[in-house]
Amino acid sequence: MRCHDICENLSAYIDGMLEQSDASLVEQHLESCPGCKSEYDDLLVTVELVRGLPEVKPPPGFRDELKERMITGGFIESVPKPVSRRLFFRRWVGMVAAAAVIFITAGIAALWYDDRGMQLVPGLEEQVAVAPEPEQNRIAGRAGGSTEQADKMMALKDADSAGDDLRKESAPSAAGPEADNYSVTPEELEKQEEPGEPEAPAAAQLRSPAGGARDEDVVPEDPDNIENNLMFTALTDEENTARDAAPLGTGDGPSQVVEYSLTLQVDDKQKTIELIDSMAAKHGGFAETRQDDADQMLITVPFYNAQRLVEKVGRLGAVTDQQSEQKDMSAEIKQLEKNIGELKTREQNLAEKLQQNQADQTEEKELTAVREQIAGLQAQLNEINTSVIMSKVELKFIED
Amino acid sequence: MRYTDEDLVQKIKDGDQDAFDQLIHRYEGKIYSVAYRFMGNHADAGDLAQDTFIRMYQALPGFRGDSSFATWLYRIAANACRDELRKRQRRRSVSMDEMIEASPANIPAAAGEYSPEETVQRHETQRQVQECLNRLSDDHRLILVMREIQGLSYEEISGMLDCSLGTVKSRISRARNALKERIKEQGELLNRGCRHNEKGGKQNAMP
Repeated sequence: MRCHDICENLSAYIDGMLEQSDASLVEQHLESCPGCKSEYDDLLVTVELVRGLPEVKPPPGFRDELKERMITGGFIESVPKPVSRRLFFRRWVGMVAAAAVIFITAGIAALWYDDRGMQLVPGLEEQVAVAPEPEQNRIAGRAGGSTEQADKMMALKDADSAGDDLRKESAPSAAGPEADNYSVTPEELEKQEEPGEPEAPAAAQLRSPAGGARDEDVVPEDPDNIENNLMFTALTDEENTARDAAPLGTGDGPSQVVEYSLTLQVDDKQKTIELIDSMAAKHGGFAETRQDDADQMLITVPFYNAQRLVEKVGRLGAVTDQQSEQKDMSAEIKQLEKNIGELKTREQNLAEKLQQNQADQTEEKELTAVREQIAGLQAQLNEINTSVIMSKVELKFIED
Repeated sequence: MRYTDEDLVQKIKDGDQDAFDQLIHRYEGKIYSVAYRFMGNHADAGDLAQDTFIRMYQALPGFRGDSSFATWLYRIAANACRDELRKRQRRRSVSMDEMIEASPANIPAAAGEYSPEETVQRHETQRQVQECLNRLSDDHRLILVMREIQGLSYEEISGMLDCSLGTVKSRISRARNALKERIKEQGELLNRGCRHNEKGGKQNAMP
């Protein structure tokens, strides 16, 4: 092996995840190559620094807040006469322990299960219920039924496989035994992540809290950049390789915002909603029915599962209208990163001056302002990154 | 008498209200740490850790003890981190200053064995490591939290992120190298890391 290959393997070597023969090669090489040895030492220290980070205590009031959230989130009924917060807490825990939670379990399990590979258990979504979160209406249930799939879906299929390629870029060539104590056998995982009992009672529906208005549809516009939208449609192996070889920490994530809209003609809307809810959870996302319009649903789902989910949803009824829209955000992301970088340089200069007591009042103020700007831009960047990671699927139902 | 986790879980299932409190008390430090290392600030970490416990509470009836409770809970936490990627921005109102600022709580529990100077130095090192973590991409930070802070196996991570073992290997490798570069930028950090670790760093991975 050459130095480059050795360095690629150092991380797995540290975790004991190399085959014995590869591990021996690495060891031999490290003995004779000071450059790689130094890389190895630095990597090892890095790993140890992170692993050595101490436990962080939650701030005071953490548990009180948790309790309040569980109450205001609508998981539980309020108790009329709380003796004290603590007692109150204990009382409601008991009140709802038996009732409100069974089907949620399955949703959580389904979330994990889905991300492990939904192909393993086809049809699982027919059985699972849904994980609620405070902001959403969620309904457990089972349903069946599939009809036709719209032609338009075909155009998007390739995009899905491209997304898969991104995630599954390299083959497991040197899968050694796991060297730590945390491994769980696939059987264990499977058992544990089976959906819960199908008894999920309708009575256990969670109440939807008031104020369901969300503004997550806000996506920065970028109408001029459509031609760069290659990522989901035509990423070749070479491009994937190039992506992998890109410098660390830069240009590392997806940069496309993808949104779908779908009009679905169904026999039984309620049943379909229940099923979609469960499917969304299985795909690592969540579905919400619109507070103001029961014929509409919004699904938020990780970009790499969006296409598959849309396909599946399309099979639940007759698709009468389907659209997808992609926007390339890479220019915005780049610009924001550049601006943040410049501001940080300025911040550093100012901070150094301040440290050496050479800064005047104006510069002190500027430092504050610069930091605020950085925070603002960082927030914008995060927002874009979030919208890139989570795709939106808007659904409209027409009942037969 | 000290109940096992599994005893407490059974008690909660049977409607014992105190048991839930006890379980939270037992795990809030671990779960909060994961949330803090991932989110990089206390405001968001509190929300995320609470999300995790709410999910745990909801999921408890389905917990059948196929794995240890700790492993099970850690998986919920990891999933909560992963899901948080999508919505953290909506809540973010914390400045970068707070994000990179270590809190007083962020002091090693075992500080007593160090001199005051060492403790300060150690604290500073940890603050800088967290700062380096904060500067990574979310994906890199997520996989490092899963691997280094939570101590999840490659197989578990592969399951949670729905990708192959080979991909997990290369992602962990890339994330570690990205962090290594950030740490190198901090100059002395690597050398100090050596010294601290020679003295025996406190590991916070799960038992």
